[in-house]
Amino acid sequence: MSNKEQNQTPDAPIDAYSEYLELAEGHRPPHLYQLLEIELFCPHPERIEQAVRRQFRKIKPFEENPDRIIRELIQDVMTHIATAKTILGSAEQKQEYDDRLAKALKIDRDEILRSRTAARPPEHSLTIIAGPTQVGNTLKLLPDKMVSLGADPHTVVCLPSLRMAPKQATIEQEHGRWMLRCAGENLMTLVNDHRCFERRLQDDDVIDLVGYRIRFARIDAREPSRSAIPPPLSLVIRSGPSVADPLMNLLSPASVLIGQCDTSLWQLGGKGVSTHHAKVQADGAFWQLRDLHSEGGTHLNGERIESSILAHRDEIKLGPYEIQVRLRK
Amino acid sequence: MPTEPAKSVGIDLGTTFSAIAYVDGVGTPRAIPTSDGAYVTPSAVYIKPDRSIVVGEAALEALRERPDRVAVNFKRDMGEKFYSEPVGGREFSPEALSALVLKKLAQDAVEALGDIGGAVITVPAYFGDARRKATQDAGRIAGLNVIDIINEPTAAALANAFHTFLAQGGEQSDLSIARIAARAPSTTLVYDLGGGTFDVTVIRIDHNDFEVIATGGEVRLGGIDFDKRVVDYFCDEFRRRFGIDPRDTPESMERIRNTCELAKISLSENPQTVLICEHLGRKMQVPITRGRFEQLTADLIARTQISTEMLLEDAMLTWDRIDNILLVGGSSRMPRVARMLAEISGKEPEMAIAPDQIVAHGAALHAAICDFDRTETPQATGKEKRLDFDSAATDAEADKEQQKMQAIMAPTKATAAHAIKLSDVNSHGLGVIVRSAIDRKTVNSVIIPKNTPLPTSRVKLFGTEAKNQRQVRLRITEGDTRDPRGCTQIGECMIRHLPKGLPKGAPVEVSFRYDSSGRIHVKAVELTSRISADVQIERESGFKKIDLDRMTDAVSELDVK
Repeated sequence: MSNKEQNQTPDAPIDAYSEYLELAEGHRPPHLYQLLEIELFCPHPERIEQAVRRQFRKIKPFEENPDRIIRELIQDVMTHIATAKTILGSAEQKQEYDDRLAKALKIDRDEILRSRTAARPPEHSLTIIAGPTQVGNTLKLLPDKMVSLGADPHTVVCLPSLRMAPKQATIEQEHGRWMLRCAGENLMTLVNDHRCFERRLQDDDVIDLVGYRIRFARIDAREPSRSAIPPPLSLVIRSGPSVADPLMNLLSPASVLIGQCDTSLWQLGGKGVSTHHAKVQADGAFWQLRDLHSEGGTHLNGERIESSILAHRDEIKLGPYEIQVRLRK
Repeated sequence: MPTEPAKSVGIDLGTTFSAIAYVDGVGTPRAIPTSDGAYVTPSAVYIKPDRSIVVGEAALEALRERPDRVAVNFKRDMGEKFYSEPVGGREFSPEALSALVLKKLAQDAVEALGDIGGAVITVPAYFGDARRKATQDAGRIAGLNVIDIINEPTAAALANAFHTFLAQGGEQSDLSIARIAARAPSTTLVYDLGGGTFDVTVIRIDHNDFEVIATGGEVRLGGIDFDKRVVDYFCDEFRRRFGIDPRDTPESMERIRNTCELAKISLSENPQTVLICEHLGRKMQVPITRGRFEQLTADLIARTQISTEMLLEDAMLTWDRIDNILLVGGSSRMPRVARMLAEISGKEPEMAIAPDQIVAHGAALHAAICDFDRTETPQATGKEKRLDFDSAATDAEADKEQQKMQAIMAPTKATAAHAIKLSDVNSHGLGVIVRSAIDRKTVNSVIIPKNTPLPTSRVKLFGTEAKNQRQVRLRITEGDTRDPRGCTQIGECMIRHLPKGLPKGAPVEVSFRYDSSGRIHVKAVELTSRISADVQIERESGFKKIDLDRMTDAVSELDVK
């Protein structure tokens, strides 16, 4: 049976830190910054708090391990994390701990903190470039703040939509890298059109969260020159079956896939809509509508088309839907 | 009025202490004192060499002389096969040990009340199904008629709402308990730090509706861990002075542990105290201040804080949405607890009236509601019974219309009398083990996430793993991690005899239904061939019926003192 990997030999000493907390190999027990997987002498209380909860969440599901010895080891790790919270959470205790740790590691604490501020890492932001609302909004990412995205009003980036889960995904920095995590396995999250559960974000990645497209970019990155981008586009359903989001707004360089498939950014159900039906994307200074060999075809102002440039007040017919094009100046 | 029916009782079966309560004639919940007049009974069992059994304070005392014959803290092992250590050379199941405590409590209740009716037993909200079932079995082994198992925080919130109702001038005898909680809807965070477990729960109370919104906590964190820190502190001091470590001699430890526990309790009232203990003829006094104690246990308080903050984060709640914080459990008497909660919430926590009895009070109220339900609707219940059991014997023709009417009326009456609805959430996620399409790893795919209100049903679509796959085996799990090691397998469902030639990725729909009685129904259908399989998982009992009966008989013959 396939349970073999679960029956570990009890004789081998178990390192709960690497086994359940997935810490890198090294000195055991780890020092508190290793334990929390944050930078040495991290000066940001918020980041420490967040790391405490992150590590606690990692280890906690294993607390009911059937093996008594492992269970006790896990209890010790949990207590260790709580110790990190008490020590690093109090300014005096942290100072004292840092001094001792610096001495033990034979390093200069101030030197490390100075060199860290000198080499400032690039800053990133999230911009909503397509979706029913909020398009054009930008959020600067702060290294010690986790960003939650979802339909709940308490998320940092609130994305109202009937298709959206209350909490759809999170973005947070770990070891200087921005990590995107889907909040649940059945939730649809795409990065650069590929479905993913957990991913390290790179400059100019495009994240699709059911009906919203979000661009992750460096703040200092140059915007493409103004003349080449088309004006913001709105697609509005004028008639057709009810859908979760009857409106789709786009900013260049976004593109939107329209179809039945749940990976489509704009999911339209109903008879006559193909899985991947049509696509709207920027083409120079214009927006282009392209039919993706759909069964029912895509009609623009009454004419079946394969591909066409969109103009203000154009009428698109796609299956049972009548969609109006609006271009903002 | 006919003779009063036997009263039902509520039992708080705790890790270190247990309590039993009932609702008196005027409608107030009261704890029932033990034969020595205490309102709580230590959850300790002493099996004497002559095989007679002693439960409670006397058993705790025996722990000093015969640690090998006394079982304590067995609630922590609930759901496992055996208690961690053999007692008097024999292995006991945690259910059997718990049953002995329950039997002692029931005896005290019979002494005070005469016959008792049903019993409601409480469990931590964090308990999974196996441990709930084990608790229910313990009740059965003790010979109790277990009418319900409810969550400790729900019981505490219920009792607290009732006490508030009385304080606001409510009628004690008003057992149309609907009015107990008839005030503005509120959200309460119940922080329950008991002897062995820590539970934190958010409950929304809206008139008669007690809805558990989210629950968290730690199964292995409680007052005894705080005691241990004081014990270690004393032993370290002792070793420093005399070069001997008392921890090497189990016989001395019980006395030291007891002294340290009393010191801990005293430090909740007094700024300092002195630990006076003797070991191998050497006596030592170690003064300890409240500040030092709080330093020694800061990380334990921090753990409860992490759990509390994690719970709010999970439930996407912020402190401004919590109206009350209710402190329950003897260990929440430690001043640091209320201070910590006030610091992080900006609100003044409220100490439950008699924090170590309030859970039993709530259980008793729930039991009273069940009794009330039965007695206030005799007609409806009578008819229901007849419909259920005697329908063949009734004069069918003449009674048909009448029966129909009753069948329609009965549920409404029952609902009206069932004044308070206790809605629950599942405390652990339920899912299946699958291979992830994203990274090809074996993962646990959660279908019903934890903290989902019950009853519920969820459907998820999977694909077959290989071309021409002829059967699909689903391992059903309880747990919340993607990593299967964080989950327990609770059942299996197998689709067999699939037709030849199915492509890889043939759709398999898996549906889970979790009904309010705790039964889990799993159904899997391969959608192209429509071949399906289903399985029902009950809160699994660790015992076969016959073993249970045998144990019940054995315990009923035992003389428990």
